[in-house]
Amino acid sequence: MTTHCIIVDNVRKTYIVREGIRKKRSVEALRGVSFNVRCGTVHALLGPNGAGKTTLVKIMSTILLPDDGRVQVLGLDVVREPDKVRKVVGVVLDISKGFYFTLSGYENLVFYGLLKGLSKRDAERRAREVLELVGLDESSYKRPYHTYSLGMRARVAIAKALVTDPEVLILDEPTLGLDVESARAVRDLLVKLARSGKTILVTGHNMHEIEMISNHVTIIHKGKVVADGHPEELKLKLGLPIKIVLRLREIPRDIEEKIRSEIPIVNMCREEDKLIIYARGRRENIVQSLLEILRHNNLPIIDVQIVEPTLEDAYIAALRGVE
Amino acid sequence: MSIVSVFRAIIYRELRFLKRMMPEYMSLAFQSTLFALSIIGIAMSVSGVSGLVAKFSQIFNISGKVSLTDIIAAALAFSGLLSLTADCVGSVSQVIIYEANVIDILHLIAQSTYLYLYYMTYALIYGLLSGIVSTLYVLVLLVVGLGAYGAYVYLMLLPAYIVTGIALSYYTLVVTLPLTYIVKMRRYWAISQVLVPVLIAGSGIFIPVSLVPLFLRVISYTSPLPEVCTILQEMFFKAIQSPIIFLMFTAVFVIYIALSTYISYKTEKLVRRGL
Amino acid sequence: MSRLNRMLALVRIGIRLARLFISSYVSIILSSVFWGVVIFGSAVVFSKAPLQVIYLYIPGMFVFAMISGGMWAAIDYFRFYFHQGLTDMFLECGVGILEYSIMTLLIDGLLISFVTFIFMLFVTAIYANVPIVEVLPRHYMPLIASVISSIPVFIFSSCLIGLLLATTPIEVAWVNMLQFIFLLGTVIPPQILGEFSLFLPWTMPAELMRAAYGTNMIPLSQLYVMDLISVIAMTALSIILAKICDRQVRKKGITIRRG
Repeated sequence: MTTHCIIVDNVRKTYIVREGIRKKRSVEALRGVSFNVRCGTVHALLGPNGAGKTTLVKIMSTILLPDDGRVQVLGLDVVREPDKVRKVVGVVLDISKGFYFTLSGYENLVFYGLLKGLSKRDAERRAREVLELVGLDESSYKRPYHTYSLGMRARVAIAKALVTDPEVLILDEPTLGLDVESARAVRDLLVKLARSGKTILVTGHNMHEIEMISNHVTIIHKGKVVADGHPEELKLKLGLPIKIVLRLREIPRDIEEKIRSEIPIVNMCREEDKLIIYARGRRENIVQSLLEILRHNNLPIIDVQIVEPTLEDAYIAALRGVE
Repeated sequence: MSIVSVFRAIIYRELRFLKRMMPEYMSLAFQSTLFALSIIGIAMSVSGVSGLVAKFSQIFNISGKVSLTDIIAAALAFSGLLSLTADCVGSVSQVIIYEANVIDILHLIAQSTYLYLYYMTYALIYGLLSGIVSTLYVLVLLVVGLGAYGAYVYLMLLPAYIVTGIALSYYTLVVTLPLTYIVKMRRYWAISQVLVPVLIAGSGIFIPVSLVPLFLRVISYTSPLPEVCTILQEMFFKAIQSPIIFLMFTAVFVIYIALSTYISYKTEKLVRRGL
Repeated sequence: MSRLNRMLALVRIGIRLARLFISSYVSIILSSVFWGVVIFGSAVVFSKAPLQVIYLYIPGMFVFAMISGGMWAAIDYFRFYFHQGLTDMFLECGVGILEYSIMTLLIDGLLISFVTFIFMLFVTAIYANVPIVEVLPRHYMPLIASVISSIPVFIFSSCLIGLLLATTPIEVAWVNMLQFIFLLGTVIPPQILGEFSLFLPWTMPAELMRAAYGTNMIPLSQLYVMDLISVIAMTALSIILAKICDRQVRKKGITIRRG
């Protein structure tokens, strides 16, 4: 049995953009993207605007055809078996629109359920269930969609993805523009869904949020994968330094020299009674070596602060590495 | 997904829309009735009742006796075609452009089913529903004017309305899909704004199509409306004398279905390729 | 002086904005002409005196088109632009419904209505099988007076419908039906309606246009006086309506259907 629910293999996609009536320009959105998504995980797909994330999401959800390469969802090919893929995938593309404005959220979901092949009774039941699951109360979900706030629209969009109870969820920026509370509710929901065994591929720009919920990250830039791995693994792979702030009773002149000889230092500076160190390597090794040096030199520590690189640092480092 | 799912989904959606579209249908019925009565009223104000009756009989080549009530009933029945055209061409074209280029609902449909299936089913259902809903006021008015006989007249006309509604919906698909996906039109009201009055004016509706100036007739001949108008006018005033018109309508109908299937299929390919 | 400058500036902005929507204007003109032709073309065919139909009924179409233009300006302002967030931008710049109607007056009002009127005459002439020169206005003074006095009609309809749209959740479809009230006195002349239509302020500019064809019921000298009174009355009414409308919008916001 495969452990990968989504396999993306060397996918290429070029758009032809019309400029005026006759003039055309081609834009390479994806230039051989490959990565896999493990079952039951939250996998984040990151990249700047125009990197090709939405194109990839659309290919995975059978909306677009790739020019080349292969995409499989639960072993089903998105090009050759689109009908079967549609049954196992739920998609969120743009949380602010994508529904009939004059119908209510509930009616939109029933329509979608029917389109996906549910019976009317099942579509109505599922619409109620998923709206309840995403936290929309009955009085609000019967109002026309155009009266919804962005937070409510996001919930309806996620509810739509869940109507057919799919095994795989593909969410394109599901918290974009949401207020703190709504964004948190969406995050919690995603974690809950992942725990229930669903495989989730999510894109976004909020690194803090992605770091909190994802098990695996793929960064794409200009249509190519530039980094891939567990967030911690990524930071390590990209060689991002750890920042250590030591507060000592006194800072001898030769201590910096001694630290440099033991630890791979990137940068070190003094600030009053603080010694600020940027070092590369595994956190536990660096801390261990540092403590030993201080003990050996009989330097008591008043305070110590360790700042690890964030996913945002890793993301920026990955993009800078390419450029 | 199967055609049955698409059929059920569209029926569900259209019935929901219908509830909210009632003011639009009322407005359409009111305007169509106003048009029919205005034509008669204006002509009568200048020529008098006898003058109108004489001119009417002469234009439609009616040998028997015609009363003002007959003329009003005929005008109301023809106004059903006006309402039907405005509704079918207007709604189908607006919905296609609005879904694709304004509210971005196309993704929801494209990730659920095949687009050509969706468009072909939608045109069929909308034409069918519109044939009934947008002409229902004719039944009311005919019953008020002619009693039970009015209901009989309406039931005779209803199949013609329904078939016309379906043919017009497919015609609109043929016109609108290229404008939506190749020209990338965003003003979803523009097609209906121009096409509907041009088709109606060009088909005559209330007068024989042969009396319409040629430049207008040419445009309306791209649609099935002139044939339908002739059929309806013949049905109303005399037994159908030229069955060839039925044959022509059937041929036109088949051409629209074939063309719209081809264009819907091409649209599907275009959308999936991201062009 | 500063008010006049402001009005001229608004008209200039309106002309600049109109350049962005040339295709929309073309489609509005075509649409209005052909809808008109459905009625008048058929009526001409069924009538024994086609020219009489043209002279008596089509002149009123100019004023009716002005009223319709004013109504659509209000619908744009309080419904379409509202959904696009543009109404707030206009309000922020001090452009209420009165100022907006002045802005759109030249193109959406006068130009569109006049071109529609002329094209409608031409196409109906083809139905009537008469030369085009036969359907052109014959007396130019009443024609000019009609065009000028239809300006307050445009602004009045814009402010009236604007107030209705701003303060009630009425839908565009109902407003569309409401506009047919304005057929009384414009397209349907006092000869048919009787004297009651003389109390409708928009009858006067339409009657002046009919005077350009010699089909007016009221004698021309009286008509000029009555027209002046109706112009003053409509201008005053428009200002009052616009003030109420602006105050209501500031106090309660724009009312739209939420259920």
